[in-house]
Amino acid sequence: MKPFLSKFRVYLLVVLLGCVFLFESCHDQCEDRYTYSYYEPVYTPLSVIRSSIAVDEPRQITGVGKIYFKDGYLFVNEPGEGIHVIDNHDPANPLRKHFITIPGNYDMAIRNNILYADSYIDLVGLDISNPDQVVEVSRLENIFSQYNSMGFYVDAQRGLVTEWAEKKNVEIEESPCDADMQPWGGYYYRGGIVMWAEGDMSTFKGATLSNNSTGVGGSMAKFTISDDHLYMLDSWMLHAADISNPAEVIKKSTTQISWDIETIFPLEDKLFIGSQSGMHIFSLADPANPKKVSTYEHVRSCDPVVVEGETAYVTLRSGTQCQGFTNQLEVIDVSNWENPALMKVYPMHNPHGLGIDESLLFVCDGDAGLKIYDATDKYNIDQHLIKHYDNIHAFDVIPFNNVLMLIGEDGIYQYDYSDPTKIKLLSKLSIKSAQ
Amino acid sequence: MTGSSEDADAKEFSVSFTTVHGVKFSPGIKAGIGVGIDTYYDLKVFPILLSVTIDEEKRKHGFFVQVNGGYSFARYTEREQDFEEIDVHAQGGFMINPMIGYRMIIENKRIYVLAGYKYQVASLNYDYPEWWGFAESSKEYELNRFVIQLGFGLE
Repeated sequence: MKPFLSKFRVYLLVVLLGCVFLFESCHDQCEDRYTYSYYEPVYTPLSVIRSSIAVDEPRQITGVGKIYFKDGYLFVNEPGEGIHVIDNHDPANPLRKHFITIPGNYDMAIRNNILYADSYIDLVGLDISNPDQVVEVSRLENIFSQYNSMGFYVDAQRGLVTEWAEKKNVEIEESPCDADMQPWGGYYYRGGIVMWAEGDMSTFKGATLSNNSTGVGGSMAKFTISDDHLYMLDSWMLHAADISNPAEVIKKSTTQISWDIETIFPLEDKLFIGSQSGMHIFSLADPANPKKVSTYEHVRSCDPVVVEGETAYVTLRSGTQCQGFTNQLEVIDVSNWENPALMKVYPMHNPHGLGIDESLLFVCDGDAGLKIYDATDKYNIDQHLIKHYDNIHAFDVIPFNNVLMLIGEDGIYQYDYSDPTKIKLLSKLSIKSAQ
Repeated sequence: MTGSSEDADAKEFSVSFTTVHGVKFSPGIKAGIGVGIDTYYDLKVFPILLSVTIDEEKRKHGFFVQVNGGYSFARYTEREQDFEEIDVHAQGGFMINPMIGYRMIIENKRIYVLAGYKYQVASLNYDYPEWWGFAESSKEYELNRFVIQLGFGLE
C-alpha cells in the first residue's frame, strides 16, 4: 500500500508551511517622501551693515521708493538698497550721477548738505556736499528698534535678516501603507517662512517745500524736517531728533501715536500725520516734543495728505493693502488746527499720490490717469478740471517750480507744467524691473 | 494574496487574476508572457509579466518552480480628497513573484496549486496647485505578499 503522504507530498507540505512562516512576517514598507523648498533667513552682522555705506557708480533704477528733490538734484530711493543721485538741473536731461549704497534704506530727508536716511535700525547722516565723496558724519544707532526686517527683529548677536536663502529638502519618513498621505503634508515651515510674493514697497505720493534749507519730499514720506529737527515715523511712534549739529544728532523724544500711521507732512509749526484711520495734527510749539492737537477721522484706507495754506487735501484709496472701499478726494479746512472740518468730498477712481503748487492740484488717480485741478474754489474743484491725462499711470508727483516730477509704472517722468493745459514731457528715466 | 501594513492589526487579503500564455522551450522549461490585476490598498495594479516555469514533468503529478517578473502599471482608486485641487496619480513599478507549485494532470486538463511570495513596487504622487507652494510629495510602496494561487491549464 502506498503511503498516504509520498516523499514529494511531504516536500510540498514543508515548502508550503515554510512559505507561510517565512512570509507571514512580511510587512509592506511605505515611505512618505516630501520634497519642498523653503527659505531660511540670512543674518548680516550689524558691524557689516554699518560699514556698508558707499558711493558707487550710477546704476539702473530697478525700483522706486521715496523721492526727494533738493538744489537741482533728485534723490530716488531704491527700496532697501540705497539712493540714486540724479543731477536734475536740466529736467529735460537728467543725469544719473551716483548711487549711494545704504542698506535697509527706505526714507530720507535733506537739510543743508546733510542727507538723513534710515539704514535698518539706524539713522545715518551723510555729508553730500561733494557727491563724489559722501561722508558719514553721524549715526544714531538703534533708533528704529522696532524695525522688522523680513519678519524678524534685530538680533544682538546675529544682526539683521537681510535676505532669504532658498533651501531644498527631501524628507522621508515611514508611514502606514493603509493610511492616505495628508494632503497638506507637502507644505512646510522649517525655521522660516515660505515666500509667496515679494512685498510691494513702492508706494509713495505728493510733495511740499518745507523751507529753503531743506528739500522737497513726497506726501508719503515718513521723514521730514522742520527747522532744526528731524521727525521720523517708526511703527506706531514719532521720533524727534535735534539736527542742529549735523555731527551730533540727538534724539529728543518719542511720541506714541497709532499702529496705522503712514505719512508725515510739515507746514509751518505743524505736522500732519496721515494714518489709515485719519489725519493727526501735531503742534511743534516745542519742536523737541511734538504735541497732538487734533485728529480728523475718516474711513479706513490709505491716505496721503498734502497741505497748502489752511486747506488739507487727502486722497483715500481702497485696495488690498489699504482696506476699505473708498476712493475719493477729501478737502479739509484746517484753519482751526484743533478742529479740522471736512469741506467737500470728491469721488475718484483709485487715487494714489497728490501734490499741490499754488492751488494747482495734481492727483494721480490710478488707472484713470493724472488729473490737474484748479483748487482755488475748494467747494467746486471737480468743476475746475484743467486737464486729464488718462494715458499717464502715475503713483506720485512732486510739483515744483513748474516741473512735475512724476513716478509712473515704468519710469520717472518730468513735465513742464508752466501751461497746465499743455504739459510737455521733458524727460523719462526708465525703471527696469529686477527679474 | 495576503499581507499587511506595518502598523495594521489585521492582515489584508485580496484576490488577483493572472493569465499567462507561453511555450515549452525544452523539456522541463516553459516560458510565457502574461497580464494580471492585483489590488493593494487604494491601488489597482496591472502587471505585465514574463513567466518562467521549471517542471520536469516526470510524473503525472509533481512539483515545479515558477518565477514571474515584470513591470506593473498602477491606478489610484480614489478616495475622497479634502482638496480637489491636489492631483493624485499612481505609478507602478517592478514586480517579482517566485512560486513553488504542485501540478496535477487530470485527463487533458492541468490544475496547479502554487504558493510563494510577491514583491511589488508602486507609488502615489501628489501634484499640488501652484498656490500651494513649492512642495512635491509621494508615497512609495514596497508591497510584500504571501500568495496562494490556483491555476488551470490546457494540454
